[in-house]
Amino acid sequence: MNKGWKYYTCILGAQLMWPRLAVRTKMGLFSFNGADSESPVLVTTDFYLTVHRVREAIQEENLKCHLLVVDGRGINVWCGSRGGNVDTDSVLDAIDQTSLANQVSHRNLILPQLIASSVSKAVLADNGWNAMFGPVEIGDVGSFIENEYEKTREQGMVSFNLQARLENNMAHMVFEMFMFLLMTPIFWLLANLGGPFVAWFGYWWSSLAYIVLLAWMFGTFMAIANPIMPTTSGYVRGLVTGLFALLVLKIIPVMFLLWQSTIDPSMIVLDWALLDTTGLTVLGLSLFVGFNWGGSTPYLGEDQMTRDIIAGLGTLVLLFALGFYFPAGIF
Amino acid sequence: MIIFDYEACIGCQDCVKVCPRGVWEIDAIRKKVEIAKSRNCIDCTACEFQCPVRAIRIERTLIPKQPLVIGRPQ
Repeated sequence: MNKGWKYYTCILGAQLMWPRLAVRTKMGLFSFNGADSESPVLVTTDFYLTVHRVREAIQEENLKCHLLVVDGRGINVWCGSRGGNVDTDSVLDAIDQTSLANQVSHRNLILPQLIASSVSKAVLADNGWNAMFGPVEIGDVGSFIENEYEKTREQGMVSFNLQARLENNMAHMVFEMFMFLLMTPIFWLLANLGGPFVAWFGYWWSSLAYIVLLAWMFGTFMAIANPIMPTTSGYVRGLVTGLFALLVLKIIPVMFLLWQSTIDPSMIVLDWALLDTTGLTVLGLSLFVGFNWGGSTPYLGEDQMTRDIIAGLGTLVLLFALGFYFPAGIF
Repeated sequence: MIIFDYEACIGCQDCVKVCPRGVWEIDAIRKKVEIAKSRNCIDCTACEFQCPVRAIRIERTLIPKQPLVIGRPQ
């Protein structure tokens, strides 16, 4: 399938900034590979990227089936389901509007498993539809149908492979870049409060480029190092990444200079004592990327996310306060 | 936090089929489900929503708590 601007808008995470920016597709019933009245009916929501991937998978596996696209306010299946953008009524509405009952001879619906937080099998059964929860990944739906609507335990589990993580990271980087674009004028004004006048262009360019580059590095590191992270908490991940970055930024240059015998060993202590604004920025930024990024992984519960946000914002405020009161270092 | 009414469970395994994190497992002898990996739970509430006898409840707690199982014989 050709990938137009809509595909890339979705990939770049437009919907992260505002759900209304999500690209929607038309709801309705679509038939593939000469599907007839006996063919199975798959259900999905109307987020462009979701429908695109479902279509791609159907064509790849050459499945003879119908696809019922349900109005989900342009949100993907899982987020839409937990967020209340799609429910049993949306599925029943779509069935009515497409007069699905006249198009197929059977009454079976294959729902995506992740829609289970808001679409009730029992209510659909009351309306005469036998709904089944298919596999998590659309790529497994072919074997699900072949296997007489049975899935293995692995097919019912969410995975988060490297490709998905890097894709997720890219969408977040675009989102964070816009956030920083909005935030830098505020930081510039704050910077001018306490010291000599800072030229706008210099400040904007140097801090934005620095922050965006660092955030991108942190995000990519978290995406790659995901399997070896100690917990699922985004806050802890941010902390681990930040401390690691401090180690690389502070220890390695000093060790190099020590090896070249150009500095005194006591300089190491001094360098660490001067946990200056650079260090604070690195740690703060890493925490921000950590708890922002962690929220969109499939490992983090809502409760844990709330805890992360409280801990993260608390630490950020503390770091800002330290940076504000001790601009030359803590000691 | 998971609150599970063990006595009410009819062993239909709907929760096992919809859980994307493998929290639930079937006990083939007692024909009821068990909480196998409570730490994996991400509060998606799919099991709570699908349970036909309302034996499962997911509560939001700021401090992490162990799951509460009601009426399970030792």
